[in-house]
Amino acid sequence: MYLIFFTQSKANEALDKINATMGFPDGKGTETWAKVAKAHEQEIWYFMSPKSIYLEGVEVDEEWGDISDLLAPSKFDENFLQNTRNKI
Amino acid sequence: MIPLFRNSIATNDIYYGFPASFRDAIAFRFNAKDTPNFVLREDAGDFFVVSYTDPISGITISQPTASLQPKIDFATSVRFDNSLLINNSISLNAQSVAGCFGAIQLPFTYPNNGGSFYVFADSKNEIGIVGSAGTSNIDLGTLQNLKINNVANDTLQDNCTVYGERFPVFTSNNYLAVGSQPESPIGQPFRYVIAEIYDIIYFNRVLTNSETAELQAYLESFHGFTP
Repeated sequence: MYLIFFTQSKANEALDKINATMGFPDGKGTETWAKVAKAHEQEIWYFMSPKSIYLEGVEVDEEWGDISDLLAPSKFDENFLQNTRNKI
Repeated sequence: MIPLFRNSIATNDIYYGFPASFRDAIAFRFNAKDTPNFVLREDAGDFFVVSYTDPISGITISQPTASLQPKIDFATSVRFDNSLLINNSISLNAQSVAGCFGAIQLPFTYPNNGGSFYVFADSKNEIGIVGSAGTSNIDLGTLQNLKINNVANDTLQDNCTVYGERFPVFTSNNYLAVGSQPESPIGQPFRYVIAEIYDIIYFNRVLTNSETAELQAYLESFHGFTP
């Protein structure tokens, strides 16, 4: 599940709250729950949702299970894949 | 003490039982049984790998972003819903492949010197490309490429198998990656991996067929899969 935001500042604010709740950075190597990602050629920001217990008081625009519409097209086209297979 | 693993061994026993004739060829080993080499994060009873230090090369791979850290279970394996990234370029920390577990520098030039790579994992795993926009990646092979001694993985032992990729294809940046981006979109089958990984070993040369068979037997025994 992914948390969806229609402004970057809202996404940052939500992530800050989640990090505070989860105790990140924790001084043991974990710095953040996630990094805010921008959708490909769309004004949408998103990151992976933590467990629901960490979402209390966090304002989210939407929750999506499938973010394929937000991603850039795969750089691994069929020609690339076929070429690599042929070399192995 | 949390009983994380069914068969705990000491860190300095990573070579325990390893075939002596090609022990010196190991350049890097990721071994899920070496609990002292992991820094783990607990989240409501689940454990996630923050970092791992290879006791052979001394290299530490880490993932500071919690949502990308692989989950580690109670049976000596690490679940790579995300990925392990190994990079042999000069720049050690400058890599940013989405979803990767970490980036390390291999202590040799690979694969130009004929190194070889083996993963010991559940045979039902799917292992393929890890990639993201703007980065160059390696094709570790689709299932049909993951063979050992030219034997397809589905003809090997049911529970676990060695996936050997002797001649992986590198792109320009020489990334070597195992794992996946989380929840990669449907329709991009080469961009995801869900894998229970027990062991990953990089050798600085290609093993002979008999050595490969020895390796398979050793790993089955080491990880408790010997009938």
